Amino acid sequence: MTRVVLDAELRSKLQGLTGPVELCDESGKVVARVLPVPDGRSAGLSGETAMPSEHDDQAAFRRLKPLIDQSYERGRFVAIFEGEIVADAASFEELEQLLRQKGKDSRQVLVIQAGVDYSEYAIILTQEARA
Amino acid sequence: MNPPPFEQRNPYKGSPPRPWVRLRLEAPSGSIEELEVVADTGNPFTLILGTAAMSRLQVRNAPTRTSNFGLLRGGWFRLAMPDFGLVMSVLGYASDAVLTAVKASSPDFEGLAGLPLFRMVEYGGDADWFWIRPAAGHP
Repeated sequence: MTRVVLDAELRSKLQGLTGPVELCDESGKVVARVLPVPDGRSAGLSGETAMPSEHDDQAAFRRLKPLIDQSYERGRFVAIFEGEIVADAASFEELEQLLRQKGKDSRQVLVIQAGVDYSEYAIILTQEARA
Repeated sequence: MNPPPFEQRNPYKGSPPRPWVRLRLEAPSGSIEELEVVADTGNPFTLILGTAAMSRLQVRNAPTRTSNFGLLRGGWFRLAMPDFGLVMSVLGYASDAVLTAVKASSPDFEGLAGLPLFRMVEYGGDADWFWIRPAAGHP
């Protein structure tokens, strides 16, 4: 992964990295998203910031998604923890039982359903979006 | 005469007035928390709460996604509303931008319930009230 050092100007453009930031091109198309890391809390990051394992599992989810969709029946519940698939089951409740048996009690275990598209941009109607 | 069906009936609240429902969620500790959330059938997600509520109530993590309110943090929540047949885990999200928007209407509101929730019950409204009832077939 490429590393970029923040100078004052870039930090200011990223609004101090006090929360997630979307980077857009001139046409307004989102080309990248930046998520602050927890050790930035000393710089005033909010409670929205994810824990490291959570970041890892979000990345693992994106990496594993094609494999999961190919390997598991659509709708099957799949658990990812510390970058790996740790359990799968037909229902959320069965998956919970399996995870408890395996000692995976962390709330940070990431649970998805195979075949579901989580990447789609969502429009929440009837409420005013922030400026 | 048959008794009226169980229902939750709430007067519109806030400025501007919003329809709302009271949800009961079970925290990982087993405690039950009641939250007043705006009823919004234009919201494609079962539930959107603030990040503080999510940190108390999230059972498991879920993928983050993007929306016209910015990033939404995903999480699984446990509904604990047996009167409505809603005892299940549901995928929800957290967004403080959404929380700010609903609190602008009333500080009582803690989030936004969406169409997937209302499709699991019967819902309706008139000039003064919004209500939900158990889905047909639920005892």
